[in-house]
Amino acid sequence: MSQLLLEVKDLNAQFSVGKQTVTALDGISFDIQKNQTVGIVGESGSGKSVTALSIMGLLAANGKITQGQINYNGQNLVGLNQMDYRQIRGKEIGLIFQNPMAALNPVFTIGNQMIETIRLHTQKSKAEAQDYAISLLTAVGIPDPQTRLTQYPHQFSLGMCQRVMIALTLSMSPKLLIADEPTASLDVTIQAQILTLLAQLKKDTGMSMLIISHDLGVMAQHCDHILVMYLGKIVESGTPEDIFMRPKHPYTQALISSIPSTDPTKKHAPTLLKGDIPSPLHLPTGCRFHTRCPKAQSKCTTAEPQLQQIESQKFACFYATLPPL
Amino acid sequence: MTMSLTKIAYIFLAGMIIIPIIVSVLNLTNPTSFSPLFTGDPICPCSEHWLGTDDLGRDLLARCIDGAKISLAVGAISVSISVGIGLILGLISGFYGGIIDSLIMRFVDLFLAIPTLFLILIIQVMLTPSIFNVMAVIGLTSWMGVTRLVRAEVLTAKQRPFITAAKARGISNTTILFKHILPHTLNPVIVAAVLGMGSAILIESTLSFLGLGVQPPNASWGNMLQGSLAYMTDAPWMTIIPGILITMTVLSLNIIGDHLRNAIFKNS
Repeated sequence: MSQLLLEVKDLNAQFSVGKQTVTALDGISFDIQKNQTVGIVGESGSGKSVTALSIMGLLAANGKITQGQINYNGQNLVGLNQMDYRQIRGKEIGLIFQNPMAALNPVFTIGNQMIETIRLHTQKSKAEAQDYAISLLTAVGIPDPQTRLTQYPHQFSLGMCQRVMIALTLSMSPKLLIADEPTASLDVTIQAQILTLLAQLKKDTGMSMLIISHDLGVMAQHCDHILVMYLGKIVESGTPEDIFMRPKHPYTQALISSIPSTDPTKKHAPTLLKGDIPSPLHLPTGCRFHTRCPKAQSKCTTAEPQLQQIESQKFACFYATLPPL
Repeated sequence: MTMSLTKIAYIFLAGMIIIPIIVSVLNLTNPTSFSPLFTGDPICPCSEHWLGTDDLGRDLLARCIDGAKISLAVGAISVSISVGIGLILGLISGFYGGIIDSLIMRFVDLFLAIPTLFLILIIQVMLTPSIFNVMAVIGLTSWMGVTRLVRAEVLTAKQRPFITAAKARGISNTTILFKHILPHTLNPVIVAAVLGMGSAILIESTLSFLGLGVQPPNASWGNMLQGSLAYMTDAPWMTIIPGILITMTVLSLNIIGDHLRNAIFKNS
């Protein structure tokens, strides 16, 4: 029944820093079906945001996709010219940012930015666009939208700004919504509101979502499929049940053990990883995780494990069958 | 103390703008008519002529007011030209980068390496000196600073998340540049424009003094100074008054420029 919307195939992205080249994405492959929510988790620097920006064709000037395909509805977006890409951005794929305050232009009112966006993608007149903007702000739960339209971003709280950002993105009715850490800068209660809102909107519009977060709770609750990334590679992927109940990769296991429990009777010590995430300038040989992996053996330092599949779950580890930590 | 100096500067400049407007609207004086009291020598300041007359018997106050109009107009229009050119080149240079950026910046370097005053003098000698030529020539030779300022601002502004967000909404580069980035470059431009007006007025006075700017019988502070040269000892008011006006106006513009800079960049 499911239909393929976005297919990322063997995607590699590199950044040139001075004379050196940093590989930010190394052979990333995943699919997003229509009306599916896919999540990407991983530490800072694992390539989550680079994946999002690659799909949008918005890598910084020093970054480029060196290999692979991004097929959206059968159209390869890699190497697409700017004119054609603008038809994809916004209208087909929308992007929500981590810091909503910074993602709105401080010198224009909310109304100005919404109406500009609406009129860019539809044939609506100014008055119609304004009515549409008001209905969208109402839909994302902003009280008194008429007045709010005439206000500037600094007059909104962070949570309100994120709602505006969502309304702004939804105004183009994208078929795929990429949310790059949509709740990272918000209070927990506001986080819950925003995520519930996104889930509701997804249900109403039938769009697909790609949620990027380092919050595993968010992932468990909202995603149909989860990718775990480490240093530019997918180390494990599967359904939430796979990832949370039967994590195979030691990195995933460590991530899950680091979730603090809200049950005071069950205090558990998280599996602490040794050291820091290695510099992408000097990637470890063999398995990228071996420098911090509690299960690492000599084979891990020389050979690179490939993703292997067991039912819906994929993982890249030689010793995944050893008992979890 | 600083505050009161700033106030004086604002009031002085406001007077330099308002008085000539009132005078010309009400048609109070005629800067080119000759005094009936004139007998061949410049007349001292008296009740008929508050600031005296020049060597041709024309009222000095009327000519100073007329000169203010011309000096400020030259300042304003030439700065508009230079800011216009600087803004467009700076925006393009900063936003598109690469070879376009290098070309524009080397062009800026080239222009900065030419002694501007001599370039203006040569152009004015070849063209017929007129007010409009003065405005155009000053404007066309003083856009380099603004270009650099705007470019630097664009380089910072284009990295900001809301620009990426605007791109992610499918907004075109041209709209992003002229609608979303332009307002973020204006702060230093405002300061540069005010300071630039001061130097434009100085250049205009220099040109007129050398006879290559505003031509008689039109009055300008610069050509009034030129006319006063021969009478410096006999009729010192002819030299002192336009001289003070030039100094005060340029000083006021510089003080206002500094004040604006402090006001705008207080928080950053």
